This record gives sequence, C-alpha cells and structure tokens, in this order.
Amino acid sequence: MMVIWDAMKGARILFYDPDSRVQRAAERALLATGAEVDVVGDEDSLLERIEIDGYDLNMINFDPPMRQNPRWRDCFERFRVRFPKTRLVLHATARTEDYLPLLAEHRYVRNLIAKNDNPLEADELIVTAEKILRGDMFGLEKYMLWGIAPYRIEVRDSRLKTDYVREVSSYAERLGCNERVVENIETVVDELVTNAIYNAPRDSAGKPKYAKLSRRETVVLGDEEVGTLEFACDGNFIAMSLADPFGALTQDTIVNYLNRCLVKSEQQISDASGGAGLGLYRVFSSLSKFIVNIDPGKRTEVISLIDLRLSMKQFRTLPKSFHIFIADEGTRRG
Amino acid sequence: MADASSSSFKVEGLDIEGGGMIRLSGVIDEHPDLSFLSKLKGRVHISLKGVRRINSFGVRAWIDAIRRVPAEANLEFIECPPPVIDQINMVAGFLGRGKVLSFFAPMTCDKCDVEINQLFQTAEVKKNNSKLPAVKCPKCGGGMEVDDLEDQYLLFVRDQ
Repeated sequence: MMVIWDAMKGARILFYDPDSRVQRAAERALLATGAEVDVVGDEDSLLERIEIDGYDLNMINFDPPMRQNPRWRDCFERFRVRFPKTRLVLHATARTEDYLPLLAEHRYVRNLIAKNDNPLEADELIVTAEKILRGDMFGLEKYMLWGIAPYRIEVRDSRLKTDYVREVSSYAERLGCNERVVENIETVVDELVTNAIYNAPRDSAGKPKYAKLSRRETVVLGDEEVGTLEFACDGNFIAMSLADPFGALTQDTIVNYLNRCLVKSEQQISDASGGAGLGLYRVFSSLSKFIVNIDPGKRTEVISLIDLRLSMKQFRTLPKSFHIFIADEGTRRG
Repeated sequence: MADASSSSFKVEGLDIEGGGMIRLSGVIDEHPDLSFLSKLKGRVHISLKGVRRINSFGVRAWIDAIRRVPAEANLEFIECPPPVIDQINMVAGFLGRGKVLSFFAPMTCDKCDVEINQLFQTAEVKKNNSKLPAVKCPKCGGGMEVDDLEDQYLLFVRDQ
C-alpha cells in the first residue's frame, strides 16, 4: 500500500468551544485536513491541555466570559513565550470595535474567525488551519469553491484606475449584485489599486518610492513593480485580491491604521499615512472577510471577500473575519 | 441615482457665488476640483444625489475643502445618497458647518424583494423620534424596512 506523506500529518490542533454543535462541526472539519485534533468544551480543560503540551495550532472561542477575564490574556502571553511556535486562532462573535483594540494590544493575535449563532463554517476553519500549518499562504482561490478560476489584471498605470475599478464592478453587475454591493466593491478596488501603485512600491533601499506623491500625479510602474488584481465569485462570496511584489506592509501598520479610524475624530485623516489609513479602514469596513498575506520584503496580498448571501442589514450586524498571515514565522512543525 | 458610467465628477449650478442650488455628480476621488466650496455665499443647497461614491482621498479633499466654506455661507445638503450618508456617519467633520436637509435610505420589502432608495426629510425623521416614517412597497403595498441598521444609518440625524 502506498502511503502518501502529507504536510498535515502529525500536525496537532487543539480546538475549544463551549457549544457542542460547534465542537462537532469543527472536529469533523479539522480532522478532514489530516491533522490530529483534540476538542475541549470548558475553560479548565482548555487550560489543562495547553499547559501539558504545546500544540501546533490552538483554535479558541474568545467570546465572553473568557474575553473579559484578564487571566486568559495573561495565559496567552505566557503560552506565547513558552510555546513560541504554537499559533493561535480565535473565533468570536465580537464586533469590530471590540476586537480591533485587542489586536492592537496583543500582536500575537493575528487571526480571528467571525462567528454568529450558527456553527463555524468548515471552509474558513480548514483554510485557516491549512494555511498556517502548511505555510502555503498565498492565493485567492483558497477562499473560493474548487474550480473557480479568478480573472486577473495587471495593475501598473494610475491613469487606468477607473478602468481597473470598472472591470470588477461590471463583473459584479453581471452577477446581479445590488447597487450598494457594487459601490462597496468599487470602494475596495479603488483603495487596493491606489495602495498598489502609490504606497506599496519600494526603492532599492526599501524606502517608499511614490507614497509622498500627490495622487493626481501619474505613476506608471515598472515590470518589476506591477501589482496583480484578481477577482472571482463562487455564488456565495465575491472575492477581490491585490498582490504586490514588495511585502512592505506590516501587521503593526494594518492594526494601527484600523484602530485609528475606528473612532470618529481628526485622527482618521492623517497626513502621516498619506491617506492610506482611511483607505485601509474603508476596505475593511466594506468586507465580510479581510485577509492579508505577507512575505516580508517579497510579496503582500490583500484578499477581500463580500458575502453575497447577506442583506446590507445582516452585513452590518455580523462580525467580520480578520486574518494576517506572515511567512517569516515558522510553525512548531517548521 | 448615479449609474456606473458617470464616474467623472461634475459640478452644476447657478449663481454659485450668490447662493442657490448646486448639483454634484460622479466619483469624489483625488481628481475633482472642490475649490468652488470656498467661494460660496448666502444660502446654498448642494444636491449630492448624483455622487456615486467617495474614496479615501476624496474624503480628505472634501474635508479640506469644506473647512474653507466661508462662515457667512449657509450650507445645506439635500438628496444625500447612501454612500454619502456612510461617510457623514463615519468621518468626523464631513459636513463642516452644513447640515443635511434630505437624504435617501435604501428600503427593502421582505415579501416581494423590491429595493428602492426612498427620499426622507431630516426634519420629519427628527419629529418621528429619529426613526424613519413608514414607507409602503410600491409593488405589494406592504411595509418596507431600511436595509441597514437604522440607528447607525440615522446617526447624523441625532448629531444635527
């Protein structure tokens, strides 16, 4: 019998949620990856498991009362030091305004799966676990049903921004998306393209090359600087991504910008960021799922997903998933 | 409401310097010339019905420009569409010293899935305890609901 070695074999995942429906759904999904999965349903068992042995990946429900209990934040800080290669993914019903400050305070929290009253969706659990444990981060198609091939456009000329936006918005209109969804999509693509042309490019010394230019000034990127815009729909989600070959975006920048724009104040419009802060926040607030993949110094990919099954009211009510994956951090198994 | 082809920004209006009605349309991004705002005089209504969206640079440009509206100008915004209402609610100082007289809210009918943008007068909403007055579906006559979180959508009403 031929045994095929798989990257997930031997990976150990600890999953915690007090809801037995969620436990069952998650166990099924995560076992399907080939990893070993331990599921616990109460905080004492969780603490016992984490203390006994570090896992490759801890996936933990961080709703109240745990979120309000400072002992857990202390625990996570300790575990981070004791098991530096164990990765942490939280899932929670928390609103953006509640968890963005958490991400600012605890930099090891990079992945938050949005949860509502239904059991967690298997696909997001599986994709998140696989990306972390395999170290295979990039690609919009990971978030789409199998078989969907994204459309692809090279982004290089600031004068063509309207055309880039129009390509994606007309695609969304053909899909039958309503006016507000199309407007959200245009907002996202506009901001991603501006970022790829003006904010992302670096010179040979690693300094921003065009960020200080007025956005009215034309920029045409060289072949080694071009970004790639991809978009696709699988019937449930419309996804857009923009990848650049610089990898200059950092977790600190993302979290700081988002937190600054959270509160209505003069801080939202910052000259220091060149407008990038508000742009990033506008992207984030227009999405159901926000994913950033960073290979520092080499590549950044921002993936944006909008759940087309939701009315705008549901969209506003439901929490958003937030993920940052960084290539330089090995896993315990790495 | 603006369609996808009207991405170019336009300012249309009469008697700009003497007050009157100005209509804006298209996309407010890094390109539009908003300097007309610094020349306003008297009572001015600005219709934003044709504004399709505003990007982050458009917001910055708008905030800079709205701060330059002369103190003696009396600025009132009418027919504000959902993308503009979103900015008003999200960004501090978006209205400057102006106020919203009327706005569109996205309404939906649960029975027959009809979606419309309904125009409301801010004063009527304020009189109604900052709630939207009842709207009937043009197709089935049933009650329509705002397709957003009403309290959040009407944040600007409470701030005025």
